[in-house]
Amino acid sequence: MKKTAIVLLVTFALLLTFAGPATFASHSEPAAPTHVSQERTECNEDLSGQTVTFYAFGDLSGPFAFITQPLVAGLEDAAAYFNEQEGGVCGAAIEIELGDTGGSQDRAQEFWDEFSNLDPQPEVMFMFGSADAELLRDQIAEDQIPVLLAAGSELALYGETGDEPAWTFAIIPLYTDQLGNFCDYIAENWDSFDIEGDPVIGHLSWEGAFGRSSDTEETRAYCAERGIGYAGAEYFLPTTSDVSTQLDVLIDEGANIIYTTSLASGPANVAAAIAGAELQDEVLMAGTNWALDTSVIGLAQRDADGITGTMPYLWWDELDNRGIQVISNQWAVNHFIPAGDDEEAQRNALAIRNIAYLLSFPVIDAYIELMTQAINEVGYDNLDGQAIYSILNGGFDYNAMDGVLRFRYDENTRAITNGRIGQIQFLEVEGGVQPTVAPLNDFLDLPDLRVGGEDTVE
Amino acid sequence: MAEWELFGQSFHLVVQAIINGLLLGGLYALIALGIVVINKASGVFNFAHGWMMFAGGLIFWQFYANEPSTSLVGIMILVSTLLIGSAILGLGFLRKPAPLVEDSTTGASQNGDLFHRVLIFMKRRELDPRRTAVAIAIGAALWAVLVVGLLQDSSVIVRGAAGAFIGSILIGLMIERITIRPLLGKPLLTAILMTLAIGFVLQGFTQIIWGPNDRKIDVFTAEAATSPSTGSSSSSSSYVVQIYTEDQGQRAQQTKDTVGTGTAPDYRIKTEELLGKDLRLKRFLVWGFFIAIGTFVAFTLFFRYTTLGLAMRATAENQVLAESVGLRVRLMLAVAWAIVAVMAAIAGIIQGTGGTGVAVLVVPILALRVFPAVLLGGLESITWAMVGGLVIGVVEQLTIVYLDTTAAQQMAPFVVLIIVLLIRPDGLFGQRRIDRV
Amino acid sequence: MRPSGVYDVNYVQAQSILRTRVDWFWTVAILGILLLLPQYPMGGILGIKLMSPQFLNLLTTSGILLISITGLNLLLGYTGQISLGQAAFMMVGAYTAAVIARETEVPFILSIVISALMAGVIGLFFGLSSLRVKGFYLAMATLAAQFIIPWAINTYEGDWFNLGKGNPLPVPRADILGYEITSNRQEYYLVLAFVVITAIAARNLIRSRVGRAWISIRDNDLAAEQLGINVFRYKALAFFISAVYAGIAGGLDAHVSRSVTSDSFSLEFSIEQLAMLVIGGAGFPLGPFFGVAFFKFIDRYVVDWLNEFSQDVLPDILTFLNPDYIPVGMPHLLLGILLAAFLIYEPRGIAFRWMILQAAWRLRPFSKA
Repeated sequence: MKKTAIVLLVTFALLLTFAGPATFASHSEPAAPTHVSQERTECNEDLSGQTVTFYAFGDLSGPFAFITQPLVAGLEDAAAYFNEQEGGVCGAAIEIELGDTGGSQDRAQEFWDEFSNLDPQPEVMFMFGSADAELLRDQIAEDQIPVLLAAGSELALYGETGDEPAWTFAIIPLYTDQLGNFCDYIAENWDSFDIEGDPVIGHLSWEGAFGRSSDTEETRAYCAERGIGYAGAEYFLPTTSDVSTQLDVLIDEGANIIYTTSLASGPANVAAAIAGAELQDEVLMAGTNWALDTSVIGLAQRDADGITGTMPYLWWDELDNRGIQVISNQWAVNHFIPAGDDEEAQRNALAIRNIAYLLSFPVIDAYIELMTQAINEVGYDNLDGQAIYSILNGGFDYNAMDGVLRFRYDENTRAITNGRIGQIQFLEVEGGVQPTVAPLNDFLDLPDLRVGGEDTVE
Repeated sequence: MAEWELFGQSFHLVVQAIINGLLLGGLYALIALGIVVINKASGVFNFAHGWMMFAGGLIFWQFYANEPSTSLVGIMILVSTLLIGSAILGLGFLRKPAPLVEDSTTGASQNGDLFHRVLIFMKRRELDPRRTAVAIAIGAALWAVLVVGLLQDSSVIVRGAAGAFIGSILIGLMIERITIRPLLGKPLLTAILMTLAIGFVLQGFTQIIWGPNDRKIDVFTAEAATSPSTGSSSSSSSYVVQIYTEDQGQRAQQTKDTVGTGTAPDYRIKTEELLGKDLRLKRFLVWGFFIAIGTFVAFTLFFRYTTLGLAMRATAENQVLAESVGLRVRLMLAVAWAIVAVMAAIAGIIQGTGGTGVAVLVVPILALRVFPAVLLGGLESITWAMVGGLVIGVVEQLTIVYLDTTAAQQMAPFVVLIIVLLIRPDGLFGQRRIDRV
Repeated sequence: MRPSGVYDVNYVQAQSILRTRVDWFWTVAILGILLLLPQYPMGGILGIKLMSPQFLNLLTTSGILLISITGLNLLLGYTGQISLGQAAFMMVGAYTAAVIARETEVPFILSIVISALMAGVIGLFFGLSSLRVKGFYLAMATLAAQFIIPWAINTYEGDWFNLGKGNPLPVPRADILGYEITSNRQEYYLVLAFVVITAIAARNLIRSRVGRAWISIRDNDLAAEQLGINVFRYKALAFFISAVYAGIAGGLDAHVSRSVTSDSFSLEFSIEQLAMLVIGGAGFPLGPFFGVAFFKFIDRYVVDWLNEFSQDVLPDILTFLNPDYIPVGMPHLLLGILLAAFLIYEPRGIAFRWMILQAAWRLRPFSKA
């Protein structure tokens, strides 16, 4: 009896693993990769034969998985590309060390403890959760390891009062600044959207630190000054299956712009509710830069048409840029199989072609530049978090990947400060439809809407 | 009339929320039904129900949205063979089967007339030939549908449903066989913990196989709504990407993926004159509602009018007594788990056709929100579980209107639960139980 | 189970925590090791690396977990009541301690006491609503706690903390009579002290009138009532004390991790605590120790090894598997299988096996095991 049970259990375990999607992309041989013309600082030391490790941790398997699984692929590909083509960091090869928190902040704490206690201590780390960064804010400063953060959380970057610049540096603009930029654009170009009535924003965002970061006193006042009304905010957990009722409440309050601070399934959920209610022509859907992503397109399909928001980087289809050419080529070579017949493998490759994969290249590029500058400053043997921090804090301005993303930090700036407005569009091209994020204007300096920021309205 | 208000919210909004709540409540009722049936049959409160929903939804998606996966079919065949084999051999397929020679009255058995041997064998295993035939027929029909579906591309929904039913029946039987049966007669606490363990195991398996991505079952897209019969490829268009290679430069590349048309508009009830706006009904919830009602009616009839249903009720009442009057408790348990696994799969599929798809964050937790509904009926009453589901649905949607979403999901159902516990611990409509020392 | 020949001849002996010299020896030895371990140099002696900062952190967090599970053991193991809300009660303790540390000058020890009482009272409230019922009804009420408490804390917007919903709340370092806890090592000793105190307290409760009442309720509550035990009162007490333990653990957690967030105290964490207790052995004083040690060992070492192993091996055999997905599901799968296996084959947990092993050692060479 017991033996039977054991045997059954083991067979069950073994057999169930058979039941799965055939998801295996066979990798083709790399074609000739390309080289970016860099503004790279010359390196004073030769570190050939050594390795430097790029530490990153965050949610790889929880609610952010859609965004972050491609990030893993992106970081690996970017490191391989820079190692092979650009000689890594002063000749030293870059290794990627990743930690998966699964969305748990306890795990984030554990990873911080683990990585920050390594010997030698990491010079710089990469994180991508607002909540993780807020949680670890004080400890990051204490352990003196600067962190590059793929989130625009004001609390993590500037503290509770808005005037305590942290050891955290965001690779995207503050979410408040993004909304401010959006309001600037709407104030000038509202007519072009062809929607009845004056613009009124209603927030329909994820519950939690990230989702609540756009709607602040500062952004409300800033947008109000530009003649944009405010209909309130509804927050839903990522576990919500349908947001129709929440949408109804906002519409009932007069909203005709639905702004979402969420990602992947979040914007898709909102878009589906709008499409279900047949409100596409009466409501403009907008969001942070994470809403302008292929992960949203993949989930929402045509529902995503027209989502508008601030985009601080170049998009995949701007292929006249050398950096984008490299990234596109790396993706095509490593993940996309043009001749492949495997539907599932192609779908996975398309899922990888998203924001996170795109951003990992400029991030690694900026990392190399940072390390190079710091090595020139203090020498490789004395390299530590303090040295990196001085570079970042003392005014770091770098146009990564030939202009894909411009990093600009100084003693008072902890986030990207320029951006433009992008919109998800479905272009009819020969052979089918090409979903893209099209820029609607040129890069501008964003308003500074942190607590007590320069552009806040009294 | 549009400016009617109800406690500060427009009348239309409130009516819309109540309707949404009732529809959603239909889905909740279906989930509640599954939990109640398991509780009635085996006295176990099933915390793993949400994960069974999730697994069922994913299997449906696998057959619905993909080229049929041979590995999945293969494993389902293997598991069925194992289960059938173990059932026939009295669950001792590792043991040597006993010789088949003792019955001398029939005469034929000595020489091994195959038909008679099978009959005797079944008799010894207490298998009722008629009932076995029915079971075999159901299984065969499902498999046949699946095979036909695999060969024919146009009937993906049927294929998905057949696959999901077979898959979830197998999951249900496996759960019963491996984890629940060894616990017969053990304390209730152990059984509760066991369902939590089953939840963990299902979570692990589904995540390893399908990963953390949400899988959308796009039955209710605009395209499907406008042209239900034309199949898949006519109106959706290929997903084109721009790629760059050093030798060929920039070029457009067609992919195997297609760009879907997006969500179909909700059904509408013309109430513009009365309420100022039309009332909208979510497609997937409407269908979910009717499927839930259908399932509910089917099971009420099953429990009331079939011998198997009656036997299951008797078993639920008192396992020891049922066994002593010759009812086959283990069989009842197996049937109950199989039925409930199918119910869970249906609920998972319905949820998967909604906004977020079969999402790991959405589907399993749905079952937790339904627990209060189950409790309204005191864990016993199928009818009141149904009502409980509707009530919880309406309460949730009204809370969204008057408070916010978090309150609706985290607070409202459980406040209802606490109130019920305080007023009548056995559920508002449950039977009073008397414990003896 | 005691070696034969050791008899209690008076009440002092019958009630003693450590009865035999062997008990004393092991207790002192283990405590000594735990006290000295952090002093072992991180660089290692003679090339033997025993300690690392990671391992020290692991011990500290395990200690906090241990306190909470000891409380759960009193409730589940001794009183036979199930709770799915232990993490929520920890959360109450954590937020109380955080607010006290942020807003007031109340000394650290007192703040832990207040946090514990606060968690106790809230626990009692949810317990009371279900005291008339048993089994899954009880589970339901504590499940409600697991949802309502995080909701209430996240919804609160007021003077104490108002960072926006869902934001982590920073907590200052613990300060004991002007002596600030700064290093990981000091945190370890702080937690160790609390672990020892709470363990002794739990042991004391069990050997007293209260403990005997609890056990009789667990074994048969109706019979217990006939014996004149006030079942209602003792069940309530069990709930209260179990939540007090959770509160202490939560308060310590707030100070050690130096920030609190509602996400850390999820339903899954509650269930994991239950699983750890059952695997370790509910109703045995050593159960929580074994459970936490076993779970942390699996979580830290076995899962990683298994991940790497299956990522190497499985995709070659089962070509459709995506190796990226394996680490996502593996921890849950393993925990589920282990819990199920223990429930079927050894529902009394590791602690019971340990006792059998001890007995076998004493009876050697005549033992069967």
